[in-house]
Amino acid sequence: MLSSIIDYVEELKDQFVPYVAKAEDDVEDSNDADEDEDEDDEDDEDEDEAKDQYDELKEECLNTEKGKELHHHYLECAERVQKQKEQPGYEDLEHKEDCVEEFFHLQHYLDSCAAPRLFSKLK
Amino acid sequence: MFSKSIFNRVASKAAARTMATAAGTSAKAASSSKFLITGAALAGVTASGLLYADSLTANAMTAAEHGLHSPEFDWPQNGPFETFDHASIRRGYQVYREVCAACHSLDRVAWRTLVGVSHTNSEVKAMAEEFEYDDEPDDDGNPKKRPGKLADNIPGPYPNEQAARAANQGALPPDLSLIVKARHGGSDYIFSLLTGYPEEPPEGVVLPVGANYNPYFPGGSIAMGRVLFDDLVEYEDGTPATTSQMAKDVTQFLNWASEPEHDERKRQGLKAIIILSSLYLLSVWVKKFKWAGIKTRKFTFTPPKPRK
Amino acid sequence: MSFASVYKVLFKRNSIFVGTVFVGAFLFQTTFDSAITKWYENHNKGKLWKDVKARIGAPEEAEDDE
Repeated sequence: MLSSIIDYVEELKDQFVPYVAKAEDDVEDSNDADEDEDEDDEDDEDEDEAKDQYDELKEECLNTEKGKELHHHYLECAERVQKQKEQPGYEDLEHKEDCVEEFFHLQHYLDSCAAPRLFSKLK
Repeated sequence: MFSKSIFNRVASKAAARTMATAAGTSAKAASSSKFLITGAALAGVTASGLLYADSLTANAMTAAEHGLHSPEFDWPQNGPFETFDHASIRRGYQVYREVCAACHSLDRVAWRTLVGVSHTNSEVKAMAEEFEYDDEPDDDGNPKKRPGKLADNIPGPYPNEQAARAANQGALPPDLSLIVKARHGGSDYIFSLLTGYPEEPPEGVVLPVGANYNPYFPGGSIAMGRVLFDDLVEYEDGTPATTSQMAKDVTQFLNWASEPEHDERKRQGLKAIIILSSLYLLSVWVKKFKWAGIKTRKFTFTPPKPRK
Repeated sequence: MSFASVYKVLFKRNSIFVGTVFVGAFLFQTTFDSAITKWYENHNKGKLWKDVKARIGAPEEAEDDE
């Protein structure tokens, strides 16, 4: 009984207190972001010489100010979820956070930025 | 909004019920009104509790369940007077044949429809002859096979649905004949889906065994893996076969398969709009012409002189 | 040609009048259709099958003959 009341209060708290994600500060995190991008670059270059036009445009969009910000948001979420995964009892959690929303925000921006310019580059 | 209306309904039902019992004992009017209020309050509290309990288990329709909305691309056929790019359809057929046809059928498209759209008559004949079809049985009743003809439909990779599911871990690859019409977003969606496989699913997403992540697919978890990779096919016209180029061509081909009447429809539409709008304007002029006399006529009344 | 002479030549006899309507409709239909088609194909130049055929058709046919 008592534990269910505590759960209830916790849930109420979760509803009203948002997870805080900071986009501006934390120099560490933005370094992480750069590293990730670099890794992606290397992978692609290993695979093929002629790069896909859509990927190129999306990468260009990722390096715009808004793209960087959204990517940073996503990475921060990914890091948070990673940390949650390492905590004991993660498997039994009723609600497991995922980064789909952050990923969608980033992808949606990349799409809207790259899509209008793509077909002029294709035959 | 919704929960509120449910609440009202539950509360009013409960109130009606208490009212009915109260009506039976109308003699004790004073005590029954007290009973009524307590009953209504009790019903309200119960309804709130039930609703709250329900809200704990309810699953909201999330962004992931909707799927990521595909952006709009500059398709060659965008616009009221634009046709498909037939060079692209031709390349798209090659991509379908070499990549998609391993799993997806194209049941409703006959070989002959490709003639004069993306291939010449002799090309399509040769393509059809590569496949075997059931023929009439011979005189002893033994089944026979014959090479394909222009009138045959393009054969699929599997003989039936069960075979298709068995070969794909229970997932049925949909027939692609009408896929562009059958999916919200049409060509834009198909293109986004083909090019939209991320290298890693977003952190925290748990996929079923054998499933792949694609943000554009509603729910995110799709049985089809990424199939288009750079330089997977070699185009005969020397177009660099990047992933997005192949995705564009095959989507254009599938759009043609869904709407083979597309180019002719737009030409006829142009004719119809010109004829119908000029006939409309003509009818306006005729109406004005016919009514001009009626609208501009003048009535005069000269009263007769009174007789004396 | 004044209206009176048009009337005399085309409208006076019903058989001629009906014939005029039929022939006129036919002529209008053919010229209108070919004009629209010409504009439409010019507007979509390069995307149509006949353009594609001209670009890649000839060598393709040669391969088929072999």
